[in-house]
Amino acid sequence: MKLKTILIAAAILGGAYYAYTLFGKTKKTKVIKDRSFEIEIEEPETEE
Amino acid sequence: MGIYKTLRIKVPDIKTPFKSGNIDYSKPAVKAANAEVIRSINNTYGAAIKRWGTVFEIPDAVIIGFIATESGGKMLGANVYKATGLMQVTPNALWECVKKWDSTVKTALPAQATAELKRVLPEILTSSAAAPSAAVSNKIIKLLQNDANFNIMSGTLILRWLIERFSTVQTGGQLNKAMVAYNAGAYIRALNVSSSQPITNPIDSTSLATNRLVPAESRGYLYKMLGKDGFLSLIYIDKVV
Repeated sequence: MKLKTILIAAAILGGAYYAYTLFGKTKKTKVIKDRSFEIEIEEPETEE
Repeated sequence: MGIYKTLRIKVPDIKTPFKSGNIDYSKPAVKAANAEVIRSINNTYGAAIKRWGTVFEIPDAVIIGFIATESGGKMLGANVYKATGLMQVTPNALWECVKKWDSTVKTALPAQATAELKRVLPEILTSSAAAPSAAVSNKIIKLLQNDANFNIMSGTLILRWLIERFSTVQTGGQLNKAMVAYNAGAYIRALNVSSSQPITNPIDSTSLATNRLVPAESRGYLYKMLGKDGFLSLIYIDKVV
């Protein structure tokens, strides 16, 4: 019973982390700011 | 805070790569060749690029991208339009931008640029002519072809002037319009501008790059710089330098 609970929790956490990395890699941008410019850079897409 | 209009750039700003015939900027061999061009430009002219990029508040990567697109990093001789050297600068464009700098940019030409012009081309500061004479034009071409520092200063000066010209309070500087103007001329109809009409209509890069009123070469220019796997992507995303 205890092992089953741990496995389910691990699966949920793993799935959440996988979704987070996917979301992060496709949506995340970085912004460089300097005196007279702002550059919004897309982070590299996930490899397919 | 800088002294110029804020330039906002997205990298990439166009979701598709430059394609023409067999050339596809997303093909690994083409990407590798373009990366090598960028590295070579940075290694050879990096100091001048950094110097004038700092003076005119233009990202080094944009100047490298312009050089890569305009000349592939070669000190080319004047073409039929008198476009010369690394940044393919024309004598008339440099002359016009210096003459109209104060009225367009609303601030004095940077002291470093004034000093450089005074040293190698004092005529441009003292003459009241609207365009250079034939003799001065030839002198400018020689400078542009043989003096990389002068060429990069001139190209960056023109680019900043165009960014100031093609800016609005809402959008700040518009690199895409400045690029088309740099390549095709500041007064082409596609940019909806005359010598007395201010720019009021910002446009996204994809729309500009697919607008048939924009010359084909200039449309390609937008893809090469701002497109997927274009020069700015290679520098900022793939970090080739």
